[in-house]
Amino acid sequence: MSLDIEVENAVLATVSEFGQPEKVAKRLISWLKDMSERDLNSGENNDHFEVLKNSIDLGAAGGN
Amino acid sequence: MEIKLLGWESQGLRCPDLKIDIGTLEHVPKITLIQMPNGTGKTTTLNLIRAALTGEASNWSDDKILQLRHKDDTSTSSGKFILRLMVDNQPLTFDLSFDFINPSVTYRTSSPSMGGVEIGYSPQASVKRFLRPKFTSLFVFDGEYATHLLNENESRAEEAIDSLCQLDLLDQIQTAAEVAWNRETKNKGAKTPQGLSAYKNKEQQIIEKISLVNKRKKEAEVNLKSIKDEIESINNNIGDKIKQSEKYRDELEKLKLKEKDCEIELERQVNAAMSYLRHPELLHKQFLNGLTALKENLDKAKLPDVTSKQFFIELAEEALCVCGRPIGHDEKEHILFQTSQYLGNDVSGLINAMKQDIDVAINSTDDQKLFSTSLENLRKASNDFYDIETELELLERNALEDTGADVTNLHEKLTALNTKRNSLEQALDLINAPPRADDNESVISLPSLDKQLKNVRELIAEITETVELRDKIDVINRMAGKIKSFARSEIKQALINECNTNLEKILAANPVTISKIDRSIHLSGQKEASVGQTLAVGYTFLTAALSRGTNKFPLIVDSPAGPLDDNVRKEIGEMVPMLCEQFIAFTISTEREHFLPALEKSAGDNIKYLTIYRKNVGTTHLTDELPKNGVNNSENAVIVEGRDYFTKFTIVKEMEE
Repeated sequence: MSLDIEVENAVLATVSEFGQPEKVAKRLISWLKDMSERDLNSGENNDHFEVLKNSIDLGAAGGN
Repeated sequence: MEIKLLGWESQGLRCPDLKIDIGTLEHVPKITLIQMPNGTGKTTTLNLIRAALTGEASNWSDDKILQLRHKDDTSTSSGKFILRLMVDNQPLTFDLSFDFINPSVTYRTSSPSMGGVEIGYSPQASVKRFLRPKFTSLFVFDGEYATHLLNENESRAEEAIDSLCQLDLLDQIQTAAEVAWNRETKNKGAKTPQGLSAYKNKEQQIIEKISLVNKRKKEAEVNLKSIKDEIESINNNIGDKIKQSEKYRDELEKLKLKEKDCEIELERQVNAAMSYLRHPELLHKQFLNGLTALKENLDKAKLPDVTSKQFFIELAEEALCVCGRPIGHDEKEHILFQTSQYLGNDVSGLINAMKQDIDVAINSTDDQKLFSTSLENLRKASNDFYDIETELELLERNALEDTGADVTNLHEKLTALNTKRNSLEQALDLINAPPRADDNESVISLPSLDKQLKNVRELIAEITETVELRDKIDVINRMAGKIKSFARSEIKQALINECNTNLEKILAANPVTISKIDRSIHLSGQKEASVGQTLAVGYTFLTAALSRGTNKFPLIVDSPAGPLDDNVRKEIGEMVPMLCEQFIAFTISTEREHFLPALEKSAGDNIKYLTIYRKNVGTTHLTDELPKNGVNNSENAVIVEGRDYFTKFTIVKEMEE
């Protein structure tokens, strides 16, 4: 199932509001799209989480 | 993904025994109208369709299962319901078998992608996500659901949006983050900023202590050097003064030579005594008696000779045993297996060597006297050295006095300096001592403190990583929550706009507007709505929500037009088919007016018409009016396909449910 456009827009807006880099939004959208198209196992979810976690900038505004 | 309903079959259940074919893999009509008078089993059929889709019948109570038994024949022991679907042009079938003796429902699932039939409810994962009960209730729809959408005390509207727009995926992101947290911190201690702060304080304390101890060490080393220099200086001074004394100079030189000789002799006697100490049998008779007893016991136990492993290894190679019996393959295997119980060559050798040494020791009794003599010599050498030292000290004292030096003062100074030196050396020993397992925080050993610092820094690194992980997870969780509420808000507004546009057309005569959607749908200026308004709002909301995204679901509705007045029926009839790929409606005859023409206007001839009634006393008269073609009979029901019969069908007296 493709991701609702409003969800995608919400991701972009929220990531920007949190002052996080663009790649955070890309990785979130990628994860959401993957989940919307099929059931992910725990390993696949963890892979997405690790990639997303590594892109989080704790020094960014809204990050803490 | 596209899901379509192809048909179903029921047998031995409360609803009539029948087989409904709606479509095939090649063609599915846009609209299927199934006309069933009241009491024919519409509600039961819809419930069974839902149960087949969701798998929920596995959890039904015994009572609920038994309620589905054939109502005219309660002795029926079993029943069946088969639902046929098409998912992305592939067939998917759910087969429910009912056992009414031991109430239970068994599923079988079949599809080509699964390779055939599987016992149990097991659609493929990509389909299963859309067959959850909350999701299914959105497209297997009855008028009651519309009421729930407008009920302030329920959250069906918001749940529908979350399900259809997959906002629950954001919950899954939060869950995955917490799973990662729990995994990373499972066996760790402090995980919080407070724990980290405590360890950082400890680190700082250790650093400060190391700095202080290093400072003390440097001071001690400088002092020690100074003291040693001073001692050396005093000794040199003493030596120089003594050399000045002509009276005692020669004698002192002789005594120093003697001192050297005594020192050498003392060292020699110490070494000799030490060599005897390595022979305990020479130290005391009791040691010798003990060793003798040990050898006797070893001999008594015949150790090691008789039980030597080597003996058995060599025996296994012989053709005959020591008892004279032949040693075949099995016997050899057994002997070799048993050798593990006996002593190996290394242990055997050790025992033999030990017994030999004891033998030598026993036979060397004269050497005991030698040790006694050695000890005596050591004592003498020690006394001689002590005497020489005393004599030398006295002579040095006299020599110093002879030169006019203040001997007492010098000696006192030396004694004080030596005491200080010893104290500093002891302190430095403690500072340089290697780390021990029982060292605590009061220790002043630098190697131990370095080790403590290393340990606490490793802990800090581990906790820092953990605290950072928690911070990142918190950011992810907050973002996911914000995304969900932001997206939900935007979707709700979009749905409100679309629904109000449609409602304006549908309910032109009796307008209603959606003002907001929070957990439920709220109407402008009214808290309640008529049945017709409720149904219209429900249809517009669901079709608008279902049409978001690229997935296509059938819309299966019970009594779609019953409570609607003529104009609303017309509008709903024209609108609904445009908003879904497949519309299946269970109707009664009184719903045809205004609704059927609107449907036909919208869908053209892409409509299947089915009429179903039970065979009983009340419907016997209908048999004469059956058409020649398109009629299927089961034991307890009649199914007629065709528009003509559909539009003319009526039952004079409606059956009670």
